[in-house]
Amino acid sequence: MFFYRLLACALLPLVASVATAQTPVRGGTAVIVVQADPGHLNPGISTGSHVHAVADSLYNALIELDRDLKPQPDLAQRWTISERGTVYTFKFAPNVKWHDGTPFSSADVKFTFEEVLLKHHARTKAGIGAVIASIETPAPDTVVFKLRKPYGALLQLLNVTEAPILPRHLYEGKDPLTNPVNAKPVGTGPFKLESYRTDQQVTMVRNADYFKPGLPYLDRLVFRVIPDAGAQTLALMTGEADYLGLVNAADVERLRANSDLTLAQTAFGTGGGNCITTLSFNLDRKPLADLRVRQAIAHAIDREQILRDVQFGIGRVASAPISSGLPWAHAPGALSRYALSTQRAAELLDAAGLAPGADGVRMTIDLTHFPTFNRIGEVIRGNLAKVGIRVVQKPLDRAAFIEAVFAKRAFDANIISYCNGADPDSGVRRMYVSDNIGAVPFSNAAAYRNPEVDKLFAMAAETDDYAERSRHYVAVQKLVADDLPYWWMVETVVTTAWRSRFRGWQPWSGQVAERAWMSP
Amino acid sequence: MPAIASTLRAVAAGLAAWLLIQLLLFALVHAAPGGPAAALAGDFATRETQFEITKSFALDRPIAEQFVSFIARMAQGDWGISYHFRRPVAGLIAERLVPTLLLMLSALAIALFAGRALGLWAAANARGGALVAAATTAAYALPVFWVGQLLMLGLGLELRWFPVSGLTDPRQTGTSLTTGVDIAWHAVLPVATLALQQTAFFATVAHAKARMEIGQGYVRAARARGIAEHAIIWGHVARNVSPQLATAALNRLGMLLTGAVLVETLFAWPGLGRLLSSAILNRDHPVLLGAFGLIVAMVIASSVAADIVQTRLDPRVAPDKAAQ
Amino acid sequence: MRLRWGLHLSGALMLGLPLAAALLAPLLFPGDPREPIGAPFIAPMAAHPLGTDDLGRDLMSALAHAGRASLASGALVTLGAAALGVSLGVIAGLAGPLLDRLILRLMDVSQIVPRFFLALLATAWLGPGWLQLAAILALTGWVSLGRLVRAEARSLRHAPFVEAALLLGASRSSVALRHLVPNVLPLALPQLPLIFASALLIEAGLCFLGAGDPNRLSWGILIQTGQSHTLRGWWLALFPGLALALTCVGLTLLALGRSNEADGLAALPAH
Repeated sequence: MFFYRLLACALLPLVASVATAQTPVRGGTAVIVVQADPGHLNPGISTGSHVHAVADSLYNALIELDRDLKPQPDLAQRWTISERGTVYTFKFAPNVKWHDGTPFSSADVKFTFEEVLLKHHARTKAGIGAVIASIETPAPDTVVFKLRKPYGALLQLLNVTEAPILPRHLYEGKDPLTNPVNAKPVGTGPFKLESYRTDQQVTMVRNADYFKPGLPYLDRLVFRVIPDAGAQTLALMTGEADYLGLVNAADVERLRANSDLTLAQTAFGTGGGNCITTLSFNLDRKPLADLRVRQAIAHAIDREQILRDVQFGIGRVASAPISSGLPWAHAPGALSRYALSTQRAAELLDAAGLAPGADGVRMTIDLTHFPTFNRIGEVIRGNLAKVGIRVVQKPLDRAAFIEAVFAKRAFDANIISYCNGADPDSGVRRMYVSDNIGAVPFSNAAAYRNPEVDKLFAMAAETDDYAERSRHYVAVQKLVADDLPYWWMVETVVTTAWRSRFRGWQPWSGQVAERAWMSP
Repeated sequence: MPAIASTLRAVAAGLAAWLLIQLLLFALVHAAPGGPAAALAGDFATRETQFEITKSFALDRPIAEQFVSFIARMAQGDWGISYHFRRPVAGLIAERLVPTLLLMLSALAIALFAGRALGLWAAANARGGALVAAATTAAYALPVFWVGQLLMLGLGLELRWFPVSGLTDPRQTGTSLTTGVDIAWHAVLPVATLALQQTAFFATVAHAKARMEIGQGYVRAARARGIAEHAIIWGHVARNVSPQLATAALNRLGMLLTGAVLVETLFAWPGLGRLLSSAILNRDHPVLLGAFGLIVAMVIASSVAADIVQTRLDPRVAPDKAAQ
Repeated sequence: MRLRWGLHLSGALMLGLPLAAALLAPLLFPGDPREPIGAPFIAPMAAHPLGTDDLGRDLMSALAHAGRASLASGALVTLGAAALGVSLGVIAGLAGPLLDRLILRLMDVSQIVPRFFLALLATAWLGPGWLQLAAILALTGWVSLGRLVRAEARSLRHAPFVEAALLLGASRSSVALRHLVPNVLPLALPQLPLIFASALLIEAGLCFLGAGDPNRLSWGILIQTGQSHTLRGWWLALFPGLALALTCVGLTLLALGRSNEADGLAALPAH
């Protein structure tokens, strides 16, 4: 009898641990690798991914997006849409407190939008800023957004990456760009800042008073800065790091073979979502102003090769100007007429009057891009050389790139990864509308002007009937596929890797570790 | 007294050189395309946002005015506020100087010690000497970041002897008694990478100088007096080789820093070298000028020190800069 | 003495392989090295002795052609630095005290900021093109050569044959050209391989930090792309690194064999 009791005692923990291995447990430290030091920790004044990769874990927003990009409650527990889509009423969860103990209220939301986001957060300013009429706070737990016209994309643009909420009591009356609170942030998020050692790591601890019961599970979150991509992979392999948000494509196979690691693919993250690596043509320059030349280039670039050799098969060839990650807006087959064909390309170039010279070269263009796109540029160079177009690659760092491409428009073609975001209105519209030329970096690089396209985008924004919006976006895609201001090459899918003992990551969200836990 | 006068002259000349170089760097930095506003504001930042940033950092004033006010503030101890980190530059540089000094000085110490020993040994043993000469030349000619990656893959990944990145264990927070050990453990691979290259250099210098010394009269005299060969080499000759090594070390500061930048980037070591290269990328002018100012001052100071060492410690050598 | 010539010879031999491969590249490896000729990531084997890279290009062919580019830039830097060093050194040697002091100041200032950082700033400013880089490296790499030449010129200035020529009415410039330059060249020559090697190593370092020119296959670019794919193909970073190392060792041994032994400082490339 005693023996069986002993056996039961011995076996019980085993049984218990097997059972609990599936349910989250509290505790543990996770080390997340980031590529660059954030600089500061205020996600409301910058759209830089290096800031959001770290700072988003300290804050919340009205809603969060799940892996299907559907809005879920965050600070706002529930919401109603009324007056034919022009009034959005959000009701907040109770007991939300800032990290310094001050209670949260709707005044914080009003303040953040009016004084910070609509002035300094470029995407929110461009999107919501264009349609907002007023923000009212009838009660401390209620905020009302009154829009000038219906805006179907609103809910997709209210997550922590697009619209984080900052504490009014610390930012009121001060310039948000230089406020010292930016280095010692106070948010409502699942984690609080413990220490920030520049270019080393940002350490956060669990917020015990987090308003979502039970969360977060991890005790500590460390964002470790490792600039070299190869070193990042090595750190994950040796166990010095637990989570790598963007794995170098060349290393994916090697990591997959490692049984301690779990890999996942996502098209959406803090670096941008639903991104398409796109070739932009400077429509103000000859000979690219000639449609036939652009069509020839489209026929000549081997996008399968880019996918295979540069992305190692991870991702998809772009089949339409809008990413397939937004299935309701994506127009399948929009680009199918541009099949790979060097013959067709040559014919088009001949028709455009660009005969090959004695050395076989018909024309020379320069290709401007970030150094990270060197390999893609190399493939394009080789592909276009086959049809007599000489390509000179011009890698420029970020600051020089923005100046050359957007301020001076001194380029023939460039490569940009345009991220469509959670809604075409946030990421796609800026590429095609004519009032975006020059003024805004990473907007309409091609300088495309088509009043009909402008109109379609406006109409699509003003309704929340997704069927109608879809029709408008499909129409846009037909038009731009004809006009070819850009050539859409590959949809990027990001591979994320983490140590298998950690679960519950949310790679598609700024709140990557909100529900993450470590099995003992 | 002539010594003080010449020292003062050297200091004045150094200061003049420093100012001139700062001016040149200032102009160079501002001439780089794309100002910091674009880098700071992030993607999709509108012209207005960039303009605001430009205004708030007073970037729209004429360059001469910016330079003068910059130098004036620097003299008062205010090195400006970093555009990227939005905190005082002086504090930032001080924070980063320590890991870099740790890296460079450790590598230097190891390299001087091992280099001197190797060089002396090579001078004393003709056949082994040729081998050592060849090996050290090879070690010196290998690109430092390439060697670093090999060490990372071999000792870090395959053997798991040492960590491959960072200054400390990310999961340990706060300082404790073991922090020093932690840092030392993390320093092994970066220091080894840098030290390998520098050892080769000092071994060559020591070897050349020792060979020269061995041909001198006093060595023959010592041998004739019956002093043991190894006592001659490791005693007399070593003593005369050391000043040359010290001078060489002081003159190599610039190159040591270059190696440090590459090693720091590879091993995610949070030092001054990495601060500099990211400041160039972010067009972070205050940090660039502050860090360059410091580096230039250090290089100037060390070359002045090298001159002093050369004349004081080895009175046989005349202070002839023309021979360098 | 024998050691000297031994070093000379081994240096020349080591240098011979990459030099020959680079010069003969169009003959040994005809066709465009940037054309894919097979599947990516083939390990070294008979058909591809050094394997293929991530785009399916033969590494051996790429290495040889890259050698042409790297050696060409190195040569350009060396020629530029030599021209500057010899001319400024001779001028300073012959000049009056004021001009001499000015040139000495110029030398001091040019040596202070580490060359690598200047090159990094310059690539941010001018873009990563190889010509711009070569110019910057030549403009900053002439100083040690210049100092040596100046010292020799100053001492030669008082030599009888120079005094005689000046007395006979020869202008200073013709004295410089006809008498001084030929006499300082033997001193300057051993410095050249070192300038060459340091140019190669600096370029490789810049490529590592992402500031290289992707239009040109150079050893630096090959090492950098090889390193980012090293987990998939160990040969991709190894062979370019060895090629660079072999060349630099050869160059250094060549210089060691002839350098002024009293001054160990001059015996190694500055990088």
